[in-house]
Amino acid sequence: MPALAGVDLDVRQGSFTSLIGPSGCGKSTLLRAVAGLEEPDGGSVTVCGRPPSAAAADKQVGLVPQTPALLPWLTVRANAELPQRVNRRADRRRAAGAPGPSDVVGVLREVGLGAVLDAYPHELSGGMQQRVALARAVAMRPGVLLLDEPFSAVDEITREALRRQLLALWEHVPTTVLFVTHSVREAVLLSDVVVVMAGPPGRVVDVVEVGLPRPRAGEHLDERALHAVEDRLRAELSAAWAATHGGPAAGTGPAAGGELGA
Amino acid sequence: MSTRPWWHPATWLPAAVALALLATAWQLAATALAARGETYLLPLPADVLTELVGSPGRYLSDAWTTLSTALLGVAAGGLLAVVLAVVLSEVPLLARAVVPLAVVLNTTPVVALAPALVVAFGFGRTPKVVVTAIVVFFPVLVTVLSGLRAAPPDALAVLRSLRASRLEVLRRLRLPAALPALFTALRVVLPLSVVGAVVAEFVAAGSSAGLGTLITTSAANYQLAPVYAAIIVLAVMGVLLLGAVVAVERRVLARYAPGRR
Repeated sequence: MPALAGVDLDVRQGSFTSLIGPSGCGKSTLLRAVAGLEEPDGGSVTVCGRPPSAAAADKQVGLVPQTPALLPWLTVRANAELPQRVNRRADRRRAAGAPGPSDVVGVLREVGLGAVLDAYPHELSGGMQQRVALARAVAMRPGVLLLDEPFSAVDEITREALRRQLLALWEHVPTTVLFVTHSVREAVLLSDVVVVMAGPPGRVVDVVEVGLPRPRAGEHLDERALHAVEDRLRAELSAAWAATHGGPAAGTGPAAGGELGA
Repeated sequence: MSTRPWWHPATWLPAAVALALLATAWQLAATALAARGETYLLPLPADVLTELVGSPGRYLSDAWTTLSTALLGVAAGGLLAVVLAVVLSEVPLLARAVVPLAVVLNTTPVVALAPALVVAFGFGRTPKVVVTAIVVFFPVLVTVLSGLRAAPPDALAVLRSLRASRLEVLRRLRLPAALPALFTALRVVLPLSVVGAVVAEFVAAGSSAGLGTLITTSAANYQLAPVYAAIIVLAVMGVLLLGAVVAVERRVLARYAPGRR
């Protein structure tokens, strides 16, 4: 069975888009295809108008995987500088036009790691390690930033802080973000657009504009509007789940047309 | 791993007591046998000790001959194995051809090749080093190859998303990630290399030095004390080699694989 079937998706440049859906619906596969790590059997993926492999060759793809994937023998700073140490040809090509990589130490300071620049990954907490991974991807100023459930292994309080830091970073390192998550709340809090997926085989069920004002890092969120979007997404997810696995949608009524969204 | 320092009595006392008991049992058995005139079964510990202390130069010199053969074999066989492991990890097709063969040969007692190799390579040190190198080669190849393949997939994905070259992936990720496997291999292979060197000395006719040679020539003349003295020297050598690897391993892995110790 193909991992993805019938995914037709346009992601606005500079937007924050979340992919949400049950396990096995192909979210990660889609992300890997955008990163050029997976060749689609059919159809095409373009990143900034080019095939993913070309974008990756120019270091336009910043990847934050599920685990921090730091190299244990490198310090925090050296880990974050890894993208600058490999594939140097891309930097020479880039020097001509687009902005080069930003100051790595600056980005590390921004995510609160200024005091542990020379520490090794095993000396850090899980949340701090994930921040290093985030800084590593953001500091190279990628055209697209791909995050594959990056906060799934940390506790809820740390998760909250990581979300805020991601938003703060994204505000002044503008890039197109594709964010895979299991959490409806996380998707709504962070995104401009939420893509609801179902499967297997993976398909896009709906594309929901969140439409909440930014910045959203603070506490002055319109909780009612937030909940409305969340409810709509939950309904669509459970309908999609029911359609794939058979049986009635658990707990919620039919959600066609998103009539729960108010 | 225990947090007690090595000099703490709880660490070394049980082993010391066991050793003392063994020595006592040996002494009693050897005395009983000597009383019946059967000295060729087991020499007295005192005789073995006298033999060792009496001609330390001979044992040191023979130990060095065997040790240097073993270490040369480890260097040659280990280096070749690591290079081949890197090549195989980069060329999957070649790996599919070679790895099954290597796994089979890894379980074959390759010391059985020793007589044939002595015939092929003649006398002197070369056949002995070759035997040792072969003994060392397959465990290192198999272990390091699995280490190279065990690089964490997410880190691999990050480097691939940056389009790092294969050489860069190898240098920055795969090789350092394979260091724990390399040390696992060395811990197996260093004591094994001594076995290889000794067996090669056993079968090499006309060999004039080395603990293996000393054992065969002494045994042929019914001189048991030198045989056991040589065995004790070999045991000490094995322990020292293992200790040296573990010491280096601890230092290296503290940096390259913290938390795995």
